[in-house]
Amino acid sequence: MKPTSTDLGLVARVAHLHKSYGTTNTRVNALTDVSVGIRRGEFTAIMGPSGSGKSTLMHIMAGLDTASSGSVWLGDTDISGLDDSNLTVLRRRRVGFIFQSFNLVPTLDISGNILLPFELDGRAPTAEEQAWIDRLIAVLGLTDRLRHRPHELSGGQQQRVAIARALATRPDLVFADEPTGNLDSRTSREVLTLLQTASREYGQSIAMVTHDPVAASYADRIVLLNDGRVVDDRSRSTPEEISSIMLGMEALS
Amino acid sequence: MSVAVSLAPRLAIERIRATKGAGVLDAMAVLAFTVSSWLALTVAGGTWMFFQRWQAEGALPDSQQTGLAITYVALACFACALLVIPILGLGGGAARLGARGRVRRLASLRLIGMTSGEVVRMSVIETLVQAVAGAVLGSAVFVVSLPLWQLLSFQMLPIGFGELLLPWWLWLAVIGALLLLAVASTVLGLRRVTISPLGIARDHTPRRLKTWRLVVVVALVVAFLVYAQFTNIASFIGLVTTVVFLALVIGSINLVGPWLMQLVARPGARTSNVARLLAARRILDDPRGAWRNVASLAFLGFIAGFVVTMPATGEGGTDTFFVHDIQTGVAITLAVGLILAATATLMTQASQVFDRAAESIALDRMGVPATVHLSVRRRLVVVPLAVALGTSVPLGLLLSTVAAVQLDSFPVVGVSLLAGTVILGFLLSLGAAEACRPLQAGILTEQRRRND
Repeated sequence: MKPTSTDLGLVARVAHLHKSYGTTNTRVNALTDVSVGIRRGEFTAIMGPSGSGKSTLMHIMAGLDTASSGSVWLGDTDISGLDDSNLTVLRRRRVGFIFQSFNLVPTLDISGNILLPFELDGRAPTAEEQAWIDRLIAVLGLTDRLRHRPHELSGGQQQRVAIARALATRPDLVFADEPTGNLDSRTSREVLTLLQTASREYGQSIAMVTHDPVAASYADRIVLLNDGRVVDDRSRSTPEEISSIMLGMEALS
Repeated sequence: MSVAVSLAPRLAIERIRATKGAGVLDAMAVLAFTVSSWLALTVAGGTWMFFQRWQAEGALPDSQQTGLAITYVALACFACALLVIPILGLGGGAARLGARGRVRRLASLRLIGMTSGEVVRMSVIETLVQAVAGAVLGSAVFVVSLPLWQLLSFQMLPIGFGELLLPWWLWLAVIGALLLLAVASTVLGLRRVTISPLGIARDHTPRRLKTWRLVVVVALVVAFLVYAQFTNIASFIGLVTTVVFLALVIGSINLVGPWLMQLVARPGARTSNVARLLAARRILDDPRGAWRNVASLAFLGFIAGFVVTMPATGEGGTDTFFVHDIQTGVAITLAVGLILAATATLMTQASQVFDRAAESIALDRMGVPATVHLSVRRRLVVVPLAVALGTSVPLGLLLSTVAAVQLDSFPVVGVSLLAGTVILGFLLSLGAAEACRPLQAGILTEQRRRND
């Protein structure tokens, strides 16, 4: 019998993943034979220049997009065959999202936004979950902001709300897509430190897509993509090291 | 279901309290539902009045009018057939407008785990809230406007206060039909944009509209003209089938309209004039949308064309009271059409501002001067409108031959009404486009601020 993801210590994995867009004449291969696993409790950065397929890989892993061929597991669930409603339920119970565009619901206040995943699941947080949420709110410095609406907050604060919402349900895996893309460098460092802390202190598994070597340097592990293939898989590195690898890739292509 | 039911009203209330940007669209949707239910009730009420006068013994002063009573019912039904499509169209447009306004917010909800079924159910509830609010307001406006009708008289009898008042079952039927249509439009509108967690799923290239659209419409028109030769409008079944057939033909204009837009715009895309190119490309990208912008005015043109020959109609054509009544009826029909067109035009123009926000911002940043924007918008209004009126007026004239027995003299009243309608239509559209300028400016400044 094949080992399951759990046996391998993985929260998500893809095997021999292919993804192409367009028809035969105008085919674009976004991903070519990608096999990679995200390890439990680790902060993983998926890196690559634009057009390398990193966002596509994340979207497929999170069940937001479908693969052309290959297998996708979230935990021990093979999600490549799931229909849209099952994927949605899986997403709201086991995955959290932090996007560049924050994706907050503009008409709900901060507290409403953070509790939305529970509400969508048709339940209230348990006492234990509520304690966790309160702690998140305190750590993220949102205590005074609970009654505000997203547009009344700065970009950094909005992203912290998105982080609180993503962590609130203690999902198996949090996907972050260029989470600092809309933020200035100081706020970016704050947000990245928060993600690092969530992983180190609470054992939260995080997969972050980025093209920014500084952001990637906060991660425990860096998976490098270029032209739809995994070209490097390395442990924690400095921004300088990552930059030079990236520059090397550009010289090659 | 429970999630949608519990969350939808909360989100709706929160949004009204937030009153930012989307509030304009919400208010406009309620306004459109109000206007459409008010006018639907009024038109149905008028028909009901003629029906009652025909049915009741001795309601009319003399025997000649009693003999003509059925003709009044028939003509009222004609007016209903002319107006039912634009009225329903306004309601449907309002539902679609709401759906568009929600797309981005709904994408966020999809991302964090709302199923597409829940999204549709929630949107249906939101639309129903708007539609019910509109229906209540519309009914109120209808009741308040009742005394005004007493100024008019038909069949030499002033309209009585209660005469236009519908029995409860007819009221329910009219409102029910509007609500049903609103729900259907929402579901269809959402299916078209397929809200995926990543936003609007695929902005695919619009397919070329096929020629079958033209074939269907021509076939329908010919069939109607042939059918009208062999049917007796004076009989009940003949009347009902003719009216339903007519409504069908009017509705079919919506099939050929987008196709015509595409036909007219295609040569415009091969030009070096920036404004002309942009306008033509926008029409080609969304011929249906371009048509929707002017659809209500096309109906107005159709009605005006249809009624040109009306004053010389009917067996009692020389009786002064009959001619007078018909002219009043025509004026009311046109007025109703005009109010519908005004509301619909404003609504579609406003929603286009929001739909094209990204494109406008991109063009603005690229440094496309304001004069070009203005020129594009004017072309986008005038070209489709010319196409719409160029089609609908002749079609109306053609179909009116069914109702017209003979033309004694040149229809001065009808032609001046037609000319007035065409001029008003152009003014209205240009006015609506101009009215949206602050909205457009607002979008440009708001986006800039967000990225500070």
